[in-house]
Amino acid sequence: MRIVNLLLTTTLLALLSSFSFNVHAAEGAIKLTSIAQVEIEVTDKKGNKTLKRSTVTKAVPGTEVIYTTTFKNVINKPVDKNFVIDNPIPNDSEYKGGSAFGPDCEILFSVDGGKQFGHAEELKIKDADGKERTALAKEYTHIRWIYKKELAAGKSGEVGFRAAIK
Amino acid sequence: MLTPQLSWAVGTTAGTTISNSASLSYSIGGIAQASITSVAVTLLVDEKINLTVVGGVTTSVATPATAQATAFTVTNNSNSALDFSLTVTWAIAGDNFDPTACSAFVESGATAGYQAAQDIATYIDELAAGATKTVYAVCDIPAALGSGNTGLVGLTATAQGNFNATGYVATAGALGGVMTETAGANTANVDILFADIAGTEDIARDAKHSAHNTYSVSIPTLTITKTVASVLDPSGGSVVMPGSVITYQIAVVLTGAGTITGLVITDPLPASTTYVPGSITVNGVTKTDAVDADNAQFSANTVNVSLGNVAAPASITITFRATIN
Repeated sequence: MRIVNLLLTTTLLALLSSFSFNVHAAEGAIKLTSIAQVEIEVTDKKGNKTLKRSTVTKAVPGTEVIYTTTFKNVINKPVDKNFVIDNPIPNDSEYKGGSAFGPDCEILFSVDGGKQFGHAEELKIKDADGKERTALAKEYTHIRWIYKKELAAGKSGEVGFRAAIK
Repeated sequence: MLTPQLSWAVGTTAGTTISNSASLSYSIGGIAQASITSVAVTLLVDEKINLTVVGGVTTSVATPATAQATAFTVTNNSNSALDFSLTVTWAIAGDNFDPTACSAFVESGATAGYQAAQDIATYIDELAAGATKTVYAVCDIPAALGSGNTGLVGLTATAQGNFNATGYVATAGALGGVMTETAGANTANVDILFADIAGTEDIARDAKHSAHNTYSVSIPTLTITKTVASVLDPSGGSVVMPGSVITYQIAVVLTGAGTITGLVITDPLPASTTYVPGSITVNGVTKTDAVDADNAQFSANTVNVSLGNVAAPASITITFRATIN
């Protein structure tokens, strides 16, 4: 019965999602949504400058884009801890060092197209002359977040990073 | 539209779609579930128009002179291939003279340096993103200028293209149209952003850039020195006496830069001497005395050598002999 329930929920959600065009979400026990934003400096009447985020659909090379992925437990059971979110660095983009964020997450990177993941300092690149060196942030190909807690029913969280358009 | 934070020389080609998607793998109650992938969020890369014209070159010229080329470089820093129209300006303040009859020609690549027969294109056709071309401003230089006088010449390049879904693009063999920056809010297609800086003849963000080169008039300095190279007396010594043969040497030295035209050296024979027939040499080559195809002659008791157009630096030695009466 439980499995049947789960399937029903999934089907319903899938149906619902087909009617909403603007939400970039995938369905399962977890709703996974990715967005792209940029920060724009806004000056108020007093001359104070603040950074405001807005959704971006077009940008010129050099623009730093903030990619955020939101996950939400949409079933009535907790999701086990240590679930994994993988995000390849988008095409024609360069990861901005130190920008990956994710509360309650262990953050790992890959420099080989997602085959192996490690902490920033563990990642090595072999230069043309065969010498090994620590990989640069711009050489990262993938980011992995491992969520260290159980995700209770109805709870959500977010992870993200910044990458500039080459 | 966003202001770029410049880090890459050229950048991703306009019209490219950048896509981002995350995937999640998880378990419930220790049972692995099918992984989930988020619907990709996509970004369209806008077109950034940027170019540079580099000048600052000083070209040495004679006065007057025709078709004097001075080289500029034009670089396409936009994120798409574009055409570039070229304009030459010469009525520029801050110099001593204005060059005249100026045109711009693109280096064809066939032979380095300006070649009037080869470098005939008057606009840059399809310059790839990040690529550079040499462009010559070719001007005439007025007559009667002073040595060291300067004349400024400016080159303005304008990025041009034809608009389609991926922004402005170049068409082979034809100069594209003038571009317009996208005004106001984002449009559905690729937006156009002008990101060029101001040049000597243009303002910032106008899809143009410009620079100056300088023509500097150089009149070479001509020094003519006549010396007695040797004396040979009738008894084989070097005493100056009737019957001695004197070898005269005329050194023509041109220093500095530039070309002098129609240079003729004439030397009437000294009194009481008789020319030794057939004795004229130019740079060691013996010349005939007759008025003929070679550039030296002896007539009306005068040695006459036509050197024509001589480019500095140059050094020419003329010798002839005469007998003391």
